[in-house]
Amino acid sequence: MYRARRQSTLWESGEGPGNVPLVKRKGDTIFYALLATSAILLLLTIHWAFLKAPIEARMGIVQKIFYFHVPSAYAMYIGATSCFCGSVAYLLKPTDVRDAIARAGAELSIVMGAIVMITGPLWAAKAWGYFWTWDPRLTTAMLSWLIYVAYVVLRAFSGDGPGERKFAAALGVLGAANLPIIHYSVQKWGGQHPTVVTGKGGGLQHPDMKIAFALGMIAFTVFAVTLIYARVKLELVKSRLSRAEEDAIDLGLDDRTEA
Amino acid sequence: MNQEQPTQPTPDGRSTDFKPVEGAPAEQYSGGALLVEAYAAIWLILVAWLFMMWRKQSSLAARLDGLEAAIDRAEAAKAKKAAS
Repeated sequence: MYRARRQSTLWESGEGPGNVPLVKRKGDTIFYALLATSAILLLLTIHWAFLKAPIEARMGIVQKIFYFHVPSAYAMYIGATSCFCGSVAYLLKPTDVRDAIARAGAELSIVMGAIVMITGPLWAAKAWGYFWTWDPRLTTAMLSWLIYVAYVVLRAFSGDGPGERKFAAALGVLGAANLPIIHYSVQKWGGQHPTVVTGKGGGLQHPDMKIAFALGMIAFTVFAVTLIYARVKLELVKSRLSRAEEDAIDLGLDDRTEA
Repeated sequence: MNQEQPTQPTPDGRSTDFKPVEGAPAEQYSGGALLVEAYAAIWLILVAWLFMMWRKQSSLAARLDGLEAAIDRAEAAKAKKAAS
């Protein structure tokens, strides 16, 4: 009854079944543009890293991990910054959007951090002769990753009330405190982690290496924004649905148990 | 052939002693294999996240179905009440 009528109304208003709009909304256009740009840039990065950039003299082909490892770490920073900004904004004025940005940022940090934590040791196996060492940058990066894992676990297993959201926001702010420590750990405490980009050495010594790296950084920036955008949208739908369920219960409709 | 194979060096051992090997030392890890593993890991992680997002979306769709069913039931009860 309701579903059939809603579906027919959606078709008449230019929307398809299951709330899939037949007419594009502005937000969808932004998402499609971001997705297409990410795909093109990622393909360009792969092309430049594998087919244009020369093989490094001492490490060989494994050095090509660098063109995705560093941009992934940068994308992890983007996620962490989103989590921080969303959390601070939520603590100042709680809204669903701010909470969704913080949550999406934390998840992106975990995903990109996992890429960093796996690709880094695979490079290290060749360059250093072992997969892992308790180097300052490696240790602080892992600590930061664990903080965001804690954030997501907290959100998954606690409720979604204002109290839980505020507690998570505090953790999101706390997690960001480690970011500058990761960045400056190599300068402050030394260690074995390379400083090809930020160090005072020769850096990338071929123009195609520089282009591949720049493309990787741009591609992962756009990709990170795309992923956050998609995740925020999903989280907002979840919040709207939760409110609709609460309203339904207030009106005497028990929608959860008798589905 | 009794060729001494290079052993896994420790960080401290590298700076305190140098052990000779006869002939060219065997490659400890293949750079190509490590590179392929790294790229496979990147795509696997991203696909895993996509899968988790899909699961969340499916869960929302199930909750929406429940809500719509509740509205259906309320409408049916209202129509029944009006008829009687």
